[in-house]
Amino acid sequence: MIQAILDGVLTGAIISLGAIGLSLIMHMLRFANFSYAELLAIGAYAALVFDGLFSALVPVLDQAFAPLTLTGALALAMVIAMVVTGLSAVIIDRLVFRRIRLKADPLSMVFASFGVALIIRNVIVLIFGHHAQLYSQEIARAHVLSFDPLILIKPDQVFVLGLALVLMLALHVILTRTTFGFAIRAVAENPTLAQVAGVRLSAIIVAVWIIAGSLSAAAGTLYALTNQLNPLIGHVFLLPVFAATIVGGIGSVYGAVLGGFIVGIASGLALMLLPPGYAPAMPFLIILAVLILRPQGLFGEEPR
Amino acid sequence: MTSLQVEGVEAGYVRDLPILVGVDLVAEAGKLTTIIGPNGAGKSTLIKAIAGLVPVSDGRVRLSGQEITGLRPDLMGEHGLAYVPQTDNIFRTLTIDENLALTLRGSHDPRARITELYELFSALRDKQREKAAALSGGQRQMLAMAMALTRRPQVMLLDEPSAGLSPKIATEVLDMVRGLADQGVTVLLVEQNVKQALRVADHCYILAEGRNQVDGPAAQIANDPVVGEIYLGGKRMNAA
Repeated sequence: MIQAILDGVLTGAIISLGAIGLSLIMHMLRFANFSYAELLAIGAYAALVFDGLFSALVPVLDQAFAPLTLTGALALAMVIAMVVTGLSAVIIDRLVFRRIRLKADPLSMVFASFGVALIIRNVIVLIFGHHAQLYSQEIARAHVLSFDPLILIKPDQVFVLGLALVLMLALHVILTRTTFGFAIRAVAENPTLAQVAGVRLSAIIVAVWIIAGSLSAAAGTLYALTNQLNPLIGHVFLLPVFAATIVGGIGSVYGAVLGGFIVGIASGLALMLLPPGYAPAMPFLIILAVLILRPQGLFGEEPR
Repeated sequence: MTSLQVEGVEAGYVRDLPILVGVDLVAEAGKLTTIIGPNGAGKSTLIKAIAGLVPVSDGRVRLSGQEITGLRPDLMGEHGLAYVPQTDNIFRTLTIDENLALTLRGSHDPRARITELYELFSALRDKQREKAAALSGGQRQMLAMAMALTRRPQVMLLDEPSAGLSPKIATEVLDMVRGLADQGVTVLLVEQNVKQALRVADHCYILAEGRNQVDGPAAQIANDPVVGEIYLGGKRMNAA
């Protein structure tokens, strides 16, 4: 039970990071972006590429920060991956979604997002293959922090949770302490009024794509740090990330954070209570329950 | 002081389906000009077209001769023009302070300006850390006006600021609008409350079916029974 909750908290932190960006994008651009979770895959694979590059070019970076399996090269690669994924999100928007936004209705963007997801996933398969990969072989030998032999807590998992919380805190500070953050919240609430208040809409949309892409890259990399990396990572996270967004209320950053933890813990507990084959259905059940009981989500606004 | 000129403006939400047809209007510098007319006349569309929120397919909008037609709405403030929408004119999820700070992005010493505005709108000062959603209708209008005033606009466009307010609060709000004009701000006011609008305005335009109908000094329009009967529902105007 405790192990299931701990695993759920860890998964929840990663889902939360992914859900924050999706929540902002869905609220701001008014469409369900089914290609969004592929940004996790772009980030995780970008980190893999840069990790290999930095390890080869600067061998000293290949040293792990004991007791973590995280190396200097991977830490640096993760930062670069966040930038690359943020820019990728902007490019995808410019090439696909922006064009459709200007000419067609939101439903067209939803269908386009399915296509974008397939393209990204298959390009990753083409480049990296179907097989699973690891950032570090040391992951299998990572030692355990807990004293209870039935509870497995690895240093990497503590790091993942800590970094995810730090990133969320950083975003909270930006949103609540800077006028840039006020502008993001203003555009999310009322884009027309935000323009009247002097906010350049297109600039904020670009900024939100960058933030969403960066957080997704962090989520993808952190997941792959404690698990295996494969091209289906985006597909695997699609439903949990959507469930977290809907649970929290579309447009609410704090709702997305809470929603991520709820979905993560519920999915963890489901593994205990249900046959393993049914556990992936848990996000579906959560979405259904929320849509029936509180359609606007925990932090979402009631329609006026 | 800045004046606003609208020349032969044609505008609408859908291409080839204009709501406004050849509308002309001049809001003189430091005066309060009001636009009145029946529902669906195009009053709000005109004010939105001036603010850059509705595409203008023909005609020109100028501020003291400088053309601003089709300028992005977020750039209007830099040209000295501020717009207060009728509804949804504050960010309910932001605090009062955050609403004001947002409109002062990039300006020098925003805190000093916010303090000045709290002097002007003292009812907001005690609630500066509260979410704007907690404000009453009258306080929301005050906040909306304070947000529009942060950058010291030369021209203010107000879309029915008294809508949904009690008669007492509506009078206070419109008196405040009159005060802005008295301080030298050029005000263009769209109002459904005809009697109140004509009370505070210097000049009045009547719009119907997206076209200019009549214009003249507000006092003259208010006392013209023919104009009232034809365009403003006669007895309704006097009863308003």
